Amino acid sequence: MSARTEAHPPAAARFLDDGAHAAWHDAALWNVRDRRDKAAASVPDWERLREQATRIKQHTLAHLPDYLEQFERAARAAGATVHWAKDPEEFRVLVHGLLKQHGVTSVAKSKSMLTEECALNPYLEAQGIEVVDTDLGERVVQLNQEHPSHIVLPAIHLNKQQIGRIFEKNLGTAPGNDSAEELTEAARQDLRARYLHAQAGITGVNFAVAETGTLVVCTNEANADLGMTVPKLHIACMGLEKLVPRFEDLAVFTRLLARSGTGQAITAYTSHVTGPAPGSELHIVLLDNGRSALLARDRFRNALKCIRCGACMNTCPVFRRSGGHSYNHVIPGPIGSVLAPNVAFEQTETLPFASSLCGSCTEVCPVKIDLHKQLLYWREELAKEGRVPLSKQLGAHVFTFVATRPWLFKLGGRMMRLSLRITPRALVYGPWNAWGKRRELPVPPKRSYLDGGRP
Amino acid sequence: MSSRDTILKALREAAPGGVEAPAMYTPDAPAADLLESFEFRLKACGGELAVLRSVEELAPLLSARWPDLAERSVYSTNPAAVPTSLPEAAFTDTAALQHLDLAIVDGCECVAENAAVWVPAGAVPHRSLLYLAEHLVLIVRRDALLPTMHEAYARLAQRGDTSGYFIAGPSKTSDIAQCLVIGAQGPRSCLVCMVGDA
Repeated sequence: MSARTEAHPPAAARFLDDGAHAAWHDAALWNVRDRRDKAAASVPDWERLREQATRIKQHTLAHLPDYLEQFERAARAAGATVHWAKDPEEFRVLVHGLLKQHGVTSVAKSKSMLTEECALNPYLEAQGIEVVDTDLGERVVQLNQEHPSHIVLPAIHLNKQQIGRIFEKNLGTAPGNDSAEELTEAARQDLRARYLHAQAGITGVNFAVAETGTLVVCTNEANADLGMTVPKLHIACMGLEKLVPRFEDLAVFTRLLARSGTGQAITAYTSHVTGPAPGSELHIVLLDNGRSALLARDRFRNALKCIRCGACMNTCPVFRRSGGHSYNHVIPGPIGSVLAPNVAFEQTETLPFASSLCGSCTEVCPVKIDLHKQLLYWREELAKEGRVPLSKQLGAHVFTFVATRPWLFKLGGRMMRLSLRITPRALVYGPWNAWGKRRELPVPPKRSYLDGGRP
Repeated sequence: MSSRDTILKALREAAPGGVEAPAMYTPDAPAADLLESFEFRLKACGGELAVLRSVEELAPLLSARWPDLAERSVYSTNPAAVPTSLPEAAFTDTAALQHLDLAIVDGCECVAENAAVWVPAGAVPHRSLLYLAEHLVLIVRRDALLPTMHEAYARLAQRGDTSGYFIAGPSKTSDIAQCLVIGAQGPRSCLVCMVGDA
């Protein structure tokens, strides 16, 4: 875990400084959410499918060590080599060892949030190994020397002009060229040459099957597929939680993943790897890094069901208006905010508060993780440890005092409605009013909801 | 203790156990006509469908599409329909395969709900040619068209076909400012030829 530990609110405020871009980001992600809704509605048994997915994951997690052993046996029987790593350091050393042993100097790496989690790229580069991120969005952020801001749409924080400039500098495209077609073509030509040059492909894993030892990798660009079929060495990196018990269970998850993530009925390529191709080697690296600890936490265990579709990010009003980088965690958004405290409790204490608790994330989650509840539970954990800032503590105390005294609550409401109407604008919208930053407060109704003043 | 044993020990202490596996899933019956749905989904993901009475219709179809087909580099798993022009030595040579214009490959199960076609890894002499080819043509049988992924996976599980690829349309990306571009790094087009009767 890199020490990217700026708190969420100031980072989010910086994102909002470019109002036009923030508005584009918000609309672009909402558009993806909208496509997800249409895709979900096209499956008549969608809700039953989500229920099946969450139950398969619940069962798998309950018996995870048994399924991992079964997976290991099946993968070995198919000709793969299985490795285990407790933490990012062991993971990096292990992967580097495999590359060194095979004399690898250049690697084609497809999208894997796990390798981001373990900061694999900088480590390998320091050992003199060239790592090329091959997913187009990841390639863009790699060339721009930054991190993905979204797990499915890594470069969603950049506009066409910015990407045009990055390509001009690194790939020699014409100045001012911001055509998505031409920039994609330039990347295609550059990357296709690199697959042939690379001696190893590193990929993530979307699903792994205990019964058969199969790995499933999903992409639209065919970049993971090129990376794992052109070079003779394939290293697949997966978290312990990627397992499903039976081969046929894949139907449930491949139906849910792309529809939830991008609104596609399925990704263009859904590749099933059971053992190495003839004449090639397949190494599977299993990583724990806090996953066994998360499994032991009753209230938070469900987060291990995540299939990394990104739907919770696209729907989240906070994510859409603050951007993935503002979370300063490898996985941003609602799911990132519940995974982060498990591995970096003290560095990520603002993340469980980066939510309005509206529950939209829970509603769209294909594996029914109770995300908004978990965000609330983490706030409780932080409060227990005394890690909630004084302002929030005070606010909570004042609200408790007022809300438990109906007369005071009604009086307060009346005063608020009156004062908002008569107080000069400059006083209401001063720097002390966080609710008035970059937005208009609603016009106060004459009567309260409780007095029958319903809209 | 090895990392493997340390991890498994921690997991044994953490895993709650006891939760039954759910029964195998039965999907709702599809509302639309399967072929209509397959074609609609294939177009939606940038692919094209040709319905043929027999595989003999393939060669004229491809010649009309690529008038210079005879000069192009072609790999075909169905030489009776269209012959391979690539020398056999190039089949496993990725440096040679990178200039492959057209891969014509027999697929198996087709899925109406998402236009995915199963191509077994063993169908091709080198797996990479499915992705290095500039254009991909998949030949499938009309009676291999199934409603959903559940029926497709059930068949694969039954015959133990666990290495292979579901391919739905050409390679594509929206990574540059959400603009859809067909032909990202793999094939720029994907034509599915469905042959025979239901």
